[in-house]
Amino acid sequence: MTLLKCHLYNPASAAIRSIWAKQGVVMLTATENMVAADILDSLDVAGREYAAGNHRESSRILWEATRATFELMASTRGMNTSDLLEITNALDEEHNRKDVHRKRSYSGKLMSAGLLRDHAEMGVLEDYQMELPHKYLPAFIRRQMRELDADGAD
Amino acid sequence: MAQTDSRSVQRAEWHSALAIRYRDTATGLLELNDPYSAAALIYESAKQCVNAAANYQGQNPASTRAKVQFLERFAQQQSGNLSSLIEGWDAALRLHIHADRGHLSDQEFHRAWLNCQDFIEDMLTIRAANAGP
Repeated sequence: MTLLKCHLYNPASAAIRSIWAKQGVVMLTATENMVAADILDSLDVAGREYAAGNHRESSRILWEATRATFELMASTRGMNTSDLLEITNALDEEHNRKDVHRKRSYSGKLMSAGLLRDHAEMGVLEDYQMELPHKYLPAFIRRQMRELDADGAD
Repeated sequence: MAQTDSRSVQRAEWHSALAIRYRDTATGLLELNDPYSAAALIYESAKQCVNAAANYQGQNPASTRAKVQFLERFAQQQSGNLSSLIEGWDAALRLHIHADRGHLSDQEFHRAWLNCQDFIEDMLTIRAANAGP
């Protein structure tokens, strides 16, 4: 789980990865694969915590997993930032070039994850208010890991 | 799905009108540099959108829990809109919390505001399309 906090950006390879990403080529480094595995593991932990009624802890884990997922996606694209708003804006722009119907697909996911962060930090949600993010965010993260072809994502 | 009668349609129209009024007032409050009141009211607008959609389907969810349950079912009926509607609702909820806690940064507030506006617009558009000519 500690790997979730590691800084993924590597300026030496960023320019090359940016070019590859535009050509649709995404390859995870060994370190990134370990991060991806940690993220996937954390989803299982979040599920267990949620089932056990530890909703602030499950919310914290899902928030961290979503954050780490966006950072990983930025890293594979050679993006020179760890600013989540900036990352999701860029991902939305990339996505919108393919699908004009979804204006804020990734920033929307960040919104749901942010709601869980709010609950993790302040305990502000009723149980029913966190059901949907707990249902849909793990599915989103697993889908992204499959698209990144991360080890263990199948 | 429950049957839609004229009373349900009237309710839907009433709640749609409220949603628009709340949204417009919230926008005005934001322009008056009162983001907390604006956030509180835009959340109310989002809730009225859910009410209107539910009314049009002959339902009348009273509690917020019932509204959320309806919203999930409703979003599943809208091809391609499932995620965006749920995320838009989450944006409304974050703004509602912000009205009380003031925890969002300016950038986060701006993003939540845009997502919530999208949600309201989408809900009103879907409802209008369902209403037919």
